[in-house]
Amino acid sequence: MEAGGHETPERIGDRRLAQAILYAPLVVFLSVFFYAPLVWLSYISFVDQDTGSLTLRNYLEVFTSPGYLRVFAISLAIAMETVAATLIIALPAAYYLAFGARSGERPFLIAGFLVPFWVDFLLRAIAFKNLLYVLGLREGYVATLIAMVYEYLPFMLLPLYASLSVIDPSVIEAARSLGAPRSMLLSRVIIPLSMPGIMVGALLVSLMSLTEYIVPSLLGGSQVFTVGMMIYSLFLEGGLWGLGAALSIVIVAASMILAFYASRLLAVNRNAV
Amino acid sequence: MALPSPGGGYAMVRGEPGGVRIAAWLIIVALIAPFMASSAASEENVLKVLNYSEYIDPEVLKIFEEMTGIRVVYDEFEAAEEAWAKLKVGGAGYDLIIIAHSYVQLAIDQGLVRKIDKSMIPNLANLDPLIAGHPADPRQDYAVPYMWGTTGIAYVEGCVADPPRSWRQLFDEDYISRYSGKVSLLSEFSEVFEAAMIALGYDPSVRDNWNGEVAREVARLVGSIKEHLVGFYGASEYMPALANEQICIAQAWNGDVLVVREENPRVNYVTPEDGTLFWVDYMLIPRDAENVEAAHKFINFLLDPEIAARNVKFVWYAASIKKDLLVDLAESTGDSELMEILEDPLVYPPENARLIPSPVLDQEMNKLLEETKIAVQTGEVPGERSSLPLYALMAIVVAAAIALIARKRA
Repeated sequence: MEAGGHETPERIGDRRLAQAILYAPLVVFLSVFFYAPLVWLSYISFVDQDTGSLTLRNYLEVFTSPGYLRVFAISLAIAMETVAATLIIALPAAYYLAFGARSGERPFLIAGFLVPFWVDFLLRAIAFKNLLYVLGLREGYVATLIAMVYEYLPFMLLPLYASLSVIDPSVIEAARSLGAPRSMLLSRVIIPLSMPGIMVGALLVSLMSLTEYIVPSLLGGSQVFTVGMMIYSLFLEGGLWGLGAALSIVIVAASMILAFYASRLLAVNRNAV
Repeated sequence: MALPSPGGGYAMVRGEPGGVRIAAWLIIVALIAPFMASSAASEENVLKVLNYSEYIDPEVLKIFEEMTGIRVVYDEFEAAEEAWAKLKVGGAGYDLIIIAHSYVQLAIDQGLVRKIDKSMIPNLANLDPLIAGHPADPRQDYAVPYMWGTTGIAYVEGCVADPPRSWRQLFDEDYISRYSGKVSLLSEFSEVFEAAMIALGYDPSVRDNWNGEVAREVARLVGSIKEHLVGFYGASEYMPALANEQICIAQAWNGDVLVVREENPRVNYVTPEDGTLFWVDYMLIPRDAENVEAAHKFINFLLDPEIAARNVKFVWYAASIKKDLLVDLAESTGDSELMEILEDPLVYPPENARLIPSPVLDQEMNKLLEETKIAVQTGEVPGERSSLPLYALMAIVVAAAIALIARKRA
């Protein structure tokens, strides 16, 4: 953008090519492994499984059946509660890491916070189930939520820490010396400045936890049934591919819209800072 | 040692340590063997068989080889999907594949199996008419029953003072609330649905009973006991949970309970008196089988009472031939080990058991199952408690998010 005025058309062409080479590997990879299957999936979602003709019936069913809406609502509630809980737990820790911790202490703390997440997440979920039994907790909504929070804490903690650590400490000093009480320091300085981190963290955690399958199916017991479990069931147990595909497409579309708006909000935010 | 096999078409969980490693080897062997066999043995008479793991007495293969001079290349698989993948491509070099009944209709419809030449299998007369009559292929035109088992109720003695005798009792809220949080139903919702049908007095093997009206009744019944369930457990979950007595009652498959009983003798099994569903594993000759004649010979051989008796003793599952033939054999040869297995209610259901063939599901039935499952899981059934708190919570979250965004924009 900034240097564009000085370049000849050929040079701009060269630059475009160079840029294309930069993002080509990612585009090729995602096209083969995500977008092409997604197109195929969306085709399946429009096919009537009985007759093989094109139809909107699958979508009609997804949107009009109270059961599906309720399952979606439960998944959304779990996702939002996971976001809220991870934020509440990670924010103070990230703040301490960024401003409180001595520089020698920091690597140890970060390592200490991240080690528990190195175990493969399926193994972790199974181990968690046994741990909850030891603690006297049974499968259910609470168990699912605790395990989800555990699962997604790093995805909240790391973006928060990244955004907090770039805040200039003198800004905080200034607010303090100008007499801002602690609550105002938090609400008017720290949280607004860490908003990009909060947004990224919330986006990552909410999108991943919305379609989570393993944790609720292992720890939900008879009380929890989520979108991920329903998609699994429609495809693999019921063999109802059209319906399962329609539901998946709706979820993917909702996620994309959410991601799009969040990143726009983020862009607005960055310009404001 | 003749360890009971859980490989009866559903549960593929190994109780013994090292099982995974063995399984990995078996899969590797299963992948390589057909190629090696096809290059080495083009001249001699070879029969290639694919079966569930630990689902045959290896002696039986030797006897067949000695009797007929046909060399048997025998491979094993863990999950029915693996065998189905082979069937899908015409058999992948195999001449005989054994697979769960739920795949049989699909295989026939898609033209993946050969018609059975009944004149080559006189031992078809040995088949138990009840097992042979399973709707997967009631006339044995394409598929011949190998072994079978049941879905019933497992319980832990000591934990349960008054063991359930029927599905009606298992689905009774007064009864089940006494063991609240210690009861599991199967993760395969079709099994839950069919058991609830029996509890309600409907025969699941009658296609007309699979309608919306019955589905709503089932949803209401399962919904009424849901809060007392610890979960919908597959074999990999209910087997260890029964063994270490974390749960007291589980809807379960007989073969799995046999495995658990080895570990914890307090675990027992009930064939519900109001009806017990049975499943059947079938022998199929794939479309592209090369040695069709030998495959027929092998099927006939396996239906021989002496051979079937060997397999029953080895795998602890019920054979597809008439039980009387095996009882006669045990009596005439004084085989007390065989007799003991024949009298074990975990292998052979008691005489008075009401056996119902587990139905072959079509797409409409699958749809009904999925709808009912969602109804049960979401409480979208009349008479269930409301989910108002959930909506209130969501409303608060959404309102907070909007407020936050609005403040940012301002």
